[in-house]
Amino acid sequence: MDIRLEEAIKLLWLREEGWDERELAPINKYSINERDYRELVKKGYAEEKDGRWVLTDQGRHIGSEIIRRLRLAEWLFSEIIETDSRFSNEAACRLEHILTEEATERICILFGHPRVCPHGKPIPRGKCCGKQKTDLKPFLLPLYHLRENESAKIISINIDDRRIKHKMASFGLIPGVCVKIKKRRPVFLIEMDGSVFSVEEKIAEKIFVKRT
Amino acid sequence: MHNHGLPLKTEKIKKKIVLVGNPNVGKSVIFNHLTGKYVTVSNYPGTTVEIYRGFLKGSGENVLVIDSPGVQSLLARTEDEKVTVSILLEEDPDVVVLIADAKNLKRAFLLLFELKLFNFPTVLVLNMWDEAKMRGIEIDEKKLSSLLGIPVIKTVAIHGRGIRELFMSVEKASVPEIDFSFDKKIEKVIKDIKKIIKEPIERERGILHLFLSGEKISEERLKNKLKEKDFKRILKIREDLEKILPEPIEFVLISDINKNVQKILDGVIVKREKIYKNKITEFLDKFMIHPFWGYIFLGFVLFLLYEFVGVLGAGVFVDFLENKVFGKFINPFIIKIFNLLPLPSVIKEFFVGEFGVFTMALTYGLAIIFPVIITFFIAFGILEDSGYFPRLATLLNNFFKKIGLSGRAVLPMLLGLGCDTMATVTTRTLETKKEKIIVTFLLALGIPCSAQMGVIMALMSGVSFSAFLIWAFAISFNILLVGFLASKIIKGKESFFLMEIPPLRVPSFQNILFKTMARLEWYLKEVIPIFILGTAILFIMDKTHILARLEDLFKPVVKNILGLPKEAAIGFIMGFLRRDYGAAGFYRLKEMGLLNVSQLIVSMVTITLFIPCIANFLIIIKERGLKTAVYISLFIIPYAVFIGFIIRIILEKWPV
Ligand SMILES: Nc1nc2c(ncn2[C@@H]2O[C@H](COP(=O)(O)OP(=O)(O)OP(=O)(O)O)[C@@H](O)[C@H]2O)c(=O)[nH]1
Ligand SMILES: [Mg+2]
Ligand SMILES: [Zn+2]
Repeated sequence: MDIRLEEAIKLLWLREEGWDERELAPINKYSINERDYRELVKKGYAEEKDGRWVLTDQGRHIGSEIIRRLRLAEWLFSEIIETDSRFSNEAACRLEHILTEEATERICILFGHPRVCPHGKPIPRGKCCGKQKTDLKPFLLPLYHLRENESAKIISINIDDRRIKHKMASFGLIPGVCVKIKKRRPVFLIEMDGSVFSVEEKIAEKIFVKRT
Repeated sequence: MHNHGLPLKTEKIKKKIVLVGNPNVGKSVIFNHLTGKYVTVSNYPGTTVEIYRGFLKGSGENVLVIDSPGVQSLLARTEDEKVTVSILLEEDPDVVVLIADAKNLKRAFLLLFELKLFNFPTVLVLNMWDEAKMRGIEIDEKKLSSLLGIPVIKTVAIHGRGIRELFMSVEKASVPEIDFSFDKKIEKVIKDIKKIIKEPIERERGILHLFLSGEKISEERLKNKLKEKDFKRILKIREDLEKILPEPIEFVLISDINKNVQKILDGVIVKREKIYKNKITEFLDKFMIHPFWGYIFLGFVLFLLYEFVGVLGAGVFVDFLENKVFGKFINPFIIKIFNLLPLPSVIKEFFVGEFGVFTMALTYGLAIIFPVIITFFIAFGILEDSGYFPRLATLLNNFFKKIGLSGRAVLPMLLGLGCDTMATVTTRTLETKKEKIIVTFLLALGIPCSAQMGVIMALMSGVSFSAFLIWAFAISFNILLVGFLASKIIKGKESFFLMEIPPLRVPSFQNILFKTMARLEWYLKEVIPIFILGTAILFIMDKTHILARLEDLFKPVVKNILGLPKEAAIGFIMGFLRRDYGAAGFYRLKEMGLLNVSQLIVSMVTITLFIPCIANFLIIIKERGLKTAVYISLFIIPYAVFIGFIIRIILEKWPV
């Protein structure tokens, strides 16, 4: 698909996500304008509602793929290539148009199927995200694979159980914080900011971290 | 076991102070300082599971102080946390004293931000100052105080340091000045809801915070306030928000706050490199939860416990009190006095006869059980305050999983050894309903409380150690078996294990003393009266020959199934009142020479598994509902007899 069209879809998506024009302006590098939106309408990706452009289901479907590529690419730049966040945004923005479906999926696996981008914005789920097993080793390790006395930063928490997530968050165990493994058996003992928690294996398997 | 809410003259109260904070940060220690009362202090999260009220010392009953269960966040998860949230909403305190662990201020700040949403005037207490210092943590409390615009007080509560400053700062409490905003989508939703509410309600922003997470009291408030149509609209708004957020709402709310907290703290906390390390506690810490040595250590602890409680308490002390003090002096003396008095013989017998208030109730209660529970509570208090229990929970988690529980359930089960009734209330700290039911059930079934264990130990200590081991094995085996089966039958969400482990601490002599005294007071106030009541009932049944008839009635069960003398029926009848009292009934039979070793084991196992005491039964109704309470009892009685029967058969084949 044409880059301009993809950018236009992206902008509409972000607008629906709650971004205002002031925030969108710097992102709009291709100066997308009314003409592009009308083009989207022609192709059936968007429609006009109450004087605003909104995505159709078809447009939203494409949009979710674009956003997914974009935000997974952000992970790639911020955690592996470790560029400054300003540049990583820009780089990701380019990459988003050329990533193949397969490459996207592999990034998703590498990062443990993250639900949010490094800035906390949601990443639409992909086909790979439901499945657990894969031969590809994630670049991010589950906490479970760390050795005693190793330290790591929590990158994503791939747990569906709401209760566990709630408890982890209230302990302050959220993406971005650093933890240290004190013990692996009989259960995991992890230390964070001077507090020690015991975490059973089942949970440690689903917390994805990056060694520090 | 505790002094619950006291009758309050509400009209005199001018000010309400609520103590809140993360679990195990020293709230109860501070409550004790502020009010001069004693509520239990222990070194594990979840000691306080109910609210306690007292008056600020020197306020002449004008200022009410409330101690609350520890919470991580006001978006409560467990029942005990919900108690705290509801007290904040319902009491509407004039001052909230937020108690923080100075070692980990970040955790308390999550609460501070949430309290700010409610606009509660707040005082921030940085407790455990001693431990923070040892870890090289410096906090600039003046800067923090001017940054937040609230009093910030450093304390070492266990040594009473900083408490005076706290007393004085309560007057100066004010709403913290924190400026931050949540994720855009959330802020937008809040704005939308506010528009629907129109005229602002009290503590609006806080209520909405809770409402978004699905909390019930706030939902109820909004429902009462709004027209039905409007209420439905805000429910819809919440539902829509849920759909567009990448994570559950409460996760986003808490994470958003946590991300902002760090910014404030960066300028006020300094961590020095040098960190003081205590080699001994570090070693012990590793040892206690080692997958192999941990069990050796547990065995060692149990051995010491047996030596201290079983041999010293139940052997030496009981022997001394029962045979010397009561047997030689007190009882003969009292009997003599009654014989001198010109009273009808029925009255005399009521006090000093076979089922006499002095010769039975008080002798059992004071000479046999008392020494055992004193030694038990001292030993138990030391274990509680050291921080061993959370480590034991960690060690046993994998094991507990097999019976459908998480390691978290170890705590209430252990507390059951002190008092099953109190422990049943502690199930509030558990995550799932399924876990709560199973633990309540197992407590009622087979965890012997201190008083009961006291009699059993006193009974067994004179007989043989192997008899005691057989009893202990039979009980543990049954708990595991029933737990395993229950976890298969009872449906519910799977439990998970994620808990905070407090540091190991050297128990303070003073706290052990106060705690033991408080528990003995409970014993004297709640248990002894029941013993006296029970004895009076027995006395009447004996005089009216109902007892003899009941003995005949129960004979098929007692004699044919359990192989016990028919007099043993008295033990079981007494057991309906309290299990420990029932066990005491068997003590009498043994003294009369009616029980041999096998019969002793059979009767002890049966009475241990027997129906929970009345107080426990009432608490089960309160916490779990009447239906569950009845089901549990209906299962337990025949089951206890059945197991007694099995033990009898086994012991007949292989006598000890
Ligand atoms: N070193 C040190 N220990 C303290 C201090 N204050 C309290 N403790 C210990 O911390 C532990 C917990 O104290 P509690 O008062 O029971 O804590 P709590 O906040 O009421 O705990 P919950 O009721 O479980 O929420 C106990 O072992 C206390 O002895 C302190 O200032 N310094
Ligand atoms: Mg407490
Ligand atoms: Zn995926």
